[in-house]
Amino acid sequence: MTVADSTDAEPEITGSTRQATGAPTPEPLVGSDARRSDFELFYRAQYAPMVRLALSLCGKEQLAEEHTQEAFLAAHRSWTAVSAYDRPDLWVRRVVINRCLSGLRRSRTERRLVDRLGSSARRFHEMTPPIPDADLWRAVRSLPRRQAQAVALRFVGDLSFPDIGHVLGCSASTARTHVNRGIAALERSRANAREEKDDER
Amino acid sequence: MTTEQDLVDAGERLRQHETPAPPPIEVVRRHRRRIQARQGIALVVIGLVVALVGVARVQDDATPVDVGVPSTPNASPFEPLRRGAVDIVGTGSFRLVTLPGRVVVTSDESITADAGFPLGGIARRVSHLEVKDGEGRQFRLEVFNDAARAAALLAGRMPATATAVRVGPARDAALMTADGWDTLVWAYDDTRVVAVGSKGADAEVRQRVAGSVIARDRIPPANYVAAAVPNVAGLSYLQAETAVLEAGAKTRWTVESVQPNGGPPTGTVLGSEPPSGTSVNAGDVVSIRVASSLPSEIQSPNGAVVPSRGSFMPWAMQTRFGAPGVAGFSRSEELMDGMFPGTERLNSTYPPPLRFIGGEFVGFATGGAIPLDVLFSSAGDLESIAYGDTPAQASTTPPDPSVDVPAAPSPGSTTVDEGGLRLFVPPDWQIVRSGCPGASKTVYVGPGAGCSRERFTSESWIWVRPLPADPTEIRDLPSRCRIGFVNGMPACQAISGTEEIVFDGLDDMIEISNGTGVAKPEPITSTLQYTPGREPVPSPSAAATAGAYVNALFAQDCASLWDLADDALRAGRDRSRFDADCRASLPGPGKMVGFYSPVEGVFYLTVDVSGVESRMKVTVSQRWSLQRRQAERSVRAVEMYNGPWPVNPLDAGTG
Repeated sequence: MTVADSTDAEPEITGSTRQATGAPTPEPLVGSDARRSDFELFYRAQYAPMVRLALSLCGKEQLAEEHTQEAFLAAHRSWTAVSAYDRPDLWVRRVVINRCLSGLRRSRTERRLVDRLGSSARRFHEMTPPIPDADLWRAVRSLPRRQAQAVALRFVGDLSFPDIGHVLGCSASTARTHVNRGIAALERSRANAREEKDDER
Repeated sequence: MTTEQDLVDAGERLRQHETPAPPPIEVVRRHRRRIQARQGIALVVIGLVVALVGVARVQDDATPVDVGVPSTPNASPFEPLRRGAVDIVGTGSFRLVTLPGRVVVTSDESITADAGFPLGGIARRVSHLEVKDGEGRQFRLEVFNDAARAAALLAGRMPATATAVRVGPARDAALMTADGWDTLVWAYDDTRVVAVGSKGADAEVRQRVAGSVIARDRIPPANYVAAAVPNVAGLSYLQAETAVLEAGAKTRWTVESVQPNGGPPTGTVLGSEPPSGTSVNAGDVVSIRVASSLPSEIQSPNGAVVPSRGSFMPWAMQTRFGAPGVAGFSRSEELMDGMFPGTERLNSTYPPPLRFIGGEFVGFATGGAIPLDVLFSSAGDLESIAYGDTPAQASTTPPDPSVDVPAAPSPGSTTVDEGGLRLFVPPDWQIVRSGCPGASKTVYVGPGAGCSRERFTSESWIWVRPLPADPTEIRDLPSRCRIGFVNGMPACQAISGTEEIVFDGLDDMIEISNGTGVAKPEPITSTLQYTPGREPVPSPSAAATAGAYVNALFAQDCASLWDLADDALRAGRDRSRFDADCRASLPGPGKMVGFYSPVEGVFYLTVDVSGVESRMKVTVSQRWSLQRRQAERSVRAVEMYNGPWPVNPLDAGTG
């Protein structure tokens, strides 16, 4: 199992990501204030794109925010190491997409637990305002996991294939294959849907 | 506009989508801590409740424990099956239904003591379960732990030939734990013992066993789908029988006399009615005309139409077509090891003796002298009834069993009660009880039949009727439900028309294991056969996909899974996410992802692996293999299921 396959775990902060991104040895941050300031900047800059990425894979704004916040909390806990990366945003993206596609079940469990306690937090999960192109993103979510992740990273995250490969833990060509397969599958799915609609008429 | 362009535009719109400003990270942290704290509190509360329930159960055995409530959210990938999520489908001779109402365990008592084992001897009993179904019926489960017996079972030395486990009201069953297997499930009924393996040896598994009783009821043939009559002309009667049964219909036999020289060989099928190609409903009767070279006077004057179920089968016909011997039938369906259920082996040229199962037996002797051996065990129980092994000369006017079966024993018959049976011996027959050298427990009946087994030439009917007087109370006479199956059902249950079986992990069909444990993909690859007229999913490709999917998943063949996923998506079969990331999906050693089948039908399951929940709809059908002489179950389709779990009508409103 690769790190990218992990559904819940945070990616290891060693090895491939650091090497693949060619990150130079980071200058050590001095003091907790400096680290906090550094993280704050990163957090504020990357929060919205991460939420949108999560939104495409979760379909619900609250869930997307939840997963994004958890990912940033994880980054915050390990900021010293994460900040040393050339692209710490790729690390957070990986956490976000892994959490999104394993998050449905966990959120159900949480909701049950919270509901049993009668908490008002249940509202947290119930409001689901529509997102743009909801049907299309729903179709994306129905793709195999890697394809769905690759498509979201490509078209929402606006990442290059090498960057997608870094996030997914595969090569750029494999990432391209995932994206292309995902697009092809979506095309087939939409064609079938059109045929069914024509048949109904 | 292409899909890619749509994605580009949609991505752009999503990037423009307003999102809330990021909350301060400290606020996020506090929020997550609160959530985690609530989860912790909830888990503690649940743990306390579970502990209190456990204490209450220990203190009061009569307190029902709902087995439908999982002890943990991730307890089992078979979770839906525990509540009997089996769709009722009429795809064969029977349909699956869950028992109405909820099943509860009223007592789960740990008893470590030696106790009598169903097959005899003493084994270590470790637990005793009392279970009550929704109708208040009680039944018991005994748990044994005996490694030697388990090993013998697994090595095939025990009579584990059945596919159904019989556990039900007023029935007994045994669970067994043994080394190498977490749980062996034994269900026994008198001399019959059935066993399958399961994983998990804790109380929850036992409860699942108890909670998984289902019934299988007959459904009328009218519910079957149509099939075409195969072309049977020129085949042997056995081949024709096979072909017709494969098509889902039943057979009748019509004897047609042909010239001894130059005509078709005896036993050759001349044709069928309705003719080949005609559409019939599965379960309808197809009459097959068979050539016979025997003198016409042996034939029935009206054509001798012989029904194929519950009376004559090819073995009996063989007698009529060929050498003189014995024919007859049992009113209940007689079964023998390795034989087609529902048939009798009444041809005296066929070596093994007839074994009597239950109900009445009515036999007649054609062609001469056949002594009837009624064998009893040393305990005095009936073991078998067999004709002697000495076929005699043909008679000129034997009775025709298809039309001349008497409604009652011959007037003036002598009755002999022995071993729980009453033999109605024709007036001119002699009876020799015991005393014969080497056969102290044998009763010989027949004209002139004595210890010397002299041949005799007259024919008559002999009746054997179980004692006590009311032969219809078959289930109340334990000695009459012995080894044997009718269409996969235990004989005694077939007679009563209802079978209780256990599924949910007990009726193994597929096990997918990573590392340890057992894996049995063979039934998938070997039994994916299309059976016209009994196909719940009329798509051979779906069946092939199912088999390929299972095998690829088992083999962790990710490339194949990718292709299957794409194929499924293209074919529109897979309307939800088909996670083909098999290496990430399979659990670690010692855990198992997989599913078991009930006997036949459609069932739904959730496979929960690494926190990812997948739901599947699995269609299983069962057919009888004439070649293998056993029921074969086939996975017809494994589809990712994308809807709410179906509500079983029998479960609705009960819980």
